[in-house]
Amino acid sequence: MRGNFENTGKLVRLILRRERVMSAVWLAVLLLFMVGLAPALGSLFDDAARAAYAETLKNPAMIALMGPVYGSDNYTAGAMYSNAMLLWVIIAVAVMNILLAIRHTRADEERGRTEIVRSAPTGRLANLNAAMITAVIVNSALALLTGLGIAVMGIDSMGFTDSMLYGVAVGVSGLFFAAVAALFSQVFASARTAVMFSLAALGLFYLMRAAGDMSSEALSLISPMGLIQRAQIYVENYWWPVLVLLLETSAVVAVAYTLNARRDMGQGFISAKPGRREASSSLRSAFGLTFRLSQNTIALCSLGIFLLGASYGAILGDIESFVTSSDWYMQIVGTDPNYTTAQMFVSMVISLTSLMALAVVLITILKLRSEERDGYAEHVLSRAVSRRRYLLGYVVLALVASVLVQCAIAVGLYASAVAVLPDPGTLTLGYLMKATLVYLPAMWVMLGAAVLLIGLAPKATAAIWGYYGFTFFAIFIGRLPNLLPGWLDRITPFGYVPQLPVDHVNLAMLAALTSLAAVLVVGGVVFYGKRDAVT
Amino acid sequence: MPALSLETVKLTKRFGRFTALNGIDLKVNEGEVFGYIGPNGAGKTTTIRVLLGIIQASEGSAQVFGMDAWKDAVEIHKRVAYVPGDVSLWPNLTGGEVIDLFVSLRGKLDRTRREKLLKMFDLDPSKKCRSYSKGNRQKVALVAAFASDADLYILDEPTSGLDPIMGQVFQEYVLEQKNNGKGIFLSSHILSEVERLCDRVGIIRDGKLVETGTLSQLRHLTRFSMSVETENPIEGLEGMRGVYGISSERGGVSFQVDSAEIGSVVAHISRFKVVKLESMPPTLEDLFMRHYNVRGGT
Ligand SMILES: Nc1ncnc2c1ncn2[C@@H]1O[C@H](COP(=O)(O)OP(=O)(O)O)[C@@H](O)[C@H]1O
Ligand SMILES: [Mg+2]
Repeated sequence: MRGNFENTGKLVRLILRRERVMSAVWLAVLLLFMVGLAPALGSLFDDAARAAYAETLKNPAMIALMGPVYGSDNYTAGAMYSNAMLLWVIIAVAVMNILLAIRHTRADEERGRTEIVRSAPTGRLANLNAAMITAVIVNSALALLTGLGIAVMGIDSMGFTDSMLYGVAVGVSGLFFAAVAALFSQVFASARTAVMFSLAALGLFYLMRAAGDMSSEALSLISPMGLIQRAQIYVENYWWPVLVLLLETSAVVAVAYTLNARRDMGQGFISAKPGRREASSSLRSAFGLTFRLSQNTIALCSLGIFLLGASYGAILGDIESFVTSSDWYMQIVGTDPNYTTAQMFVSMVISLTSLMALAVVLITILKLRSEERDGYAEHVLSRAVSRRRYLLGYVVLALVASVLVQCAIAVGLYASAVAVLPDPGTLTLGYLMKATLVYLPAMWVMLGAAVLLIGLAPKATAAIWGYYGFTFFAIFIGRLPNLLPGWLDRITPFGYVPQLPVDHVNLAMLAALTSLAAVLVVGGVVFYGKRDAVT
Repeated sequence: MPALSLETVKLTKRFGRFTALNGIDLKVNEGEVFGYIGPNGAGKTTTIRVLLGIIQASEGSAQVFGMDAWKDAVEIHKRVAYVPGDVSLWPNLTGGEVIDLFVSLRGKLDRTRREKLLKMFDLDPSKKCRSYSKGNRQKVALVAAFASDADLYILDEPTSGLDPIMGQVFQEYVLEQKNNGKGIFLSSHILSEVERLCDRVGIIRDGKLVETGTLSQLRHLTRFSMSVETENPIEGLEGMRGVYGISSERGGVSFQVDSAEIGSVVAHISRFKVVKLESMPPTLEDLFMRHYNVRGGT
């Protein structure tokens, strides 16, 4: 095996050079997030508010989402910080490491760069070894800077050694996923597949610990994320989970090296499986294509919106203490003597998530523009498909998406409400559906505006995102009393949506919005029929 | 007179201030193979896009099968198969899926023909388009076009990414379609291909059609290359009309001569006891070059 690692040092220097910008940006953003938020979380809440907040975290839904609550009897700023942050930080750091490792292993091999390197007097394993050493360097820097950075903030419950533990836990987790990615890049012959499987492993580990945290400690310990949470940073400060994970990492690396030494360059242990030779009958029409191109986006976004609804719903169990823990929350949620806090909260959540759901609708319709820009639309329009039919296909899909995402909000909220509330009371599925679906006409007006832009000013379609941003601002910030002039939310369709249960459903208003949407869509379609298709 | 498959009258297309096409008058007969040649940026693709109703003429008219290219686009497309010049394909669909989709968007799929074409062009339809090279993406578009039953094939530089063997396969297939009475509008700057396949050609330059006609018609406009060896040294060639570029080689001379003057030049030369005479007809390349002044022409 001697000579297998020949010239690793030179390759490490090469990789570090190529990583100068990319890894530096990743590190800077991560540090800003981790170190910057530490004092904010420390000072934003007083002891009582933190204790109240800890209570809201102690239900199965929140534990599945965020992990077990350690040290809740004396919920310090540190305990809250590691509870609220560690899991998300690990996910971000894992993504960074997966991309880093595959960029310098399988992706280089795919592009033929490795061939040049290997034809020089470098060892068989030198490239993989150099990539792993680079990962060690980057993650060590991250660990050190994170630990020092947090310690320097001088927050009461977050001392030096404990903060170093936090930094090292983050760094070792990152290294673990770099090793996993290096392993997958031996197994699969394409960088894309390797990235996908690594991300899938990350997701799987997250779900494993979610299930484990609710029911089985062993399951959580198998997941590296669950394992690291058992370090109980800023509460008990155990180092053993970090050491165990380091051992696991070494084992994964060893397997990756063994596989690398045994395979031919450019090959994987599992070759790409061939795709379909023929199109299924559902793909054989213009709408079939439109649907196929957006189905994954719509499905994933709906799932995301559902989870968003479900995680807001998970707070409903302790909603009183949660909302009253901060003036800011009270103002955003609003109070009304006729309704419970839960009802007001749900109304606020629906308003907020509907705005997010609107983005899915806009993305669906604007896909047509990127199809034009990328030169794909020409294939369809040069065949027996009229422009009108092509554009209307996108409109229909966007309408379907709008209904889907709104239902996802209602179902998500309902699923959590049933789980955390002994008696959901007025929060029936029917009520929630009604409260979310009343947003549809307003969403359609925004959709219509996008269609009109597509027909009339194709180069300026991005303007719809400006209007979207304005709507978000006017509606969300508008919830705070006396901050914005009253007319501001009147110039966005969302300002006309009845907020159940405080407002009553005004059918005339909904009909007016729907008609406006129809006029906009028809206008857009007419103009689209009159303009050049390639712009 | 045969029916026209394509006709443009004073076709002009402007992009903002830029005039991409300037008064193009084209007539292509049904069942004819028409070569549309010109360098990059001449306006070939723009012309084709107007003919397909993807973009609209600024002035003038464009008709296909007697129908308006813009208003009756869908009806026209039912009879036309098109291969774009720059084939970009959805990275996450396979070649086979794209072929089936393209054919279905026009009409019915002929499975045996599809399989035959896949074999001819040596294309693996189970790969994602992401992994195809330019040539392979072009093959996908070609298979999709030829697998559909069309009356007119509009091909925009279809072989620019193919290797020579595949270029040959392509040419054979086009000849086969021609024999079946199909019309073909072939934009290209591969002149040997145009020379072999086309009944007539049009040369476009900077948005203007500078020449159209059959190859033999166009050849009259240009010069033959000749090289001669004689027993006695040739005299008096310099003064003759229509003779250019005389250069002496060992034992002989070579020069170019206008097609119209060949008779008198040959008569003159024969007085010096010809040992060897070679004459090369003008190639399309010469024609082309003359229009682009790459080599010192008229
Ligand atoms: N959509 C467009 N906007 C502006 N200019 C264009 C557009 N399409 C083509 N052109 C210009 O028109 C000219 C002709 O282009 P094209 O027809 O693609 O040439 P060819 O196909 O002969 O290489 C080029 O100068 C090109 O830059
Ligand atoms: Mg072109």
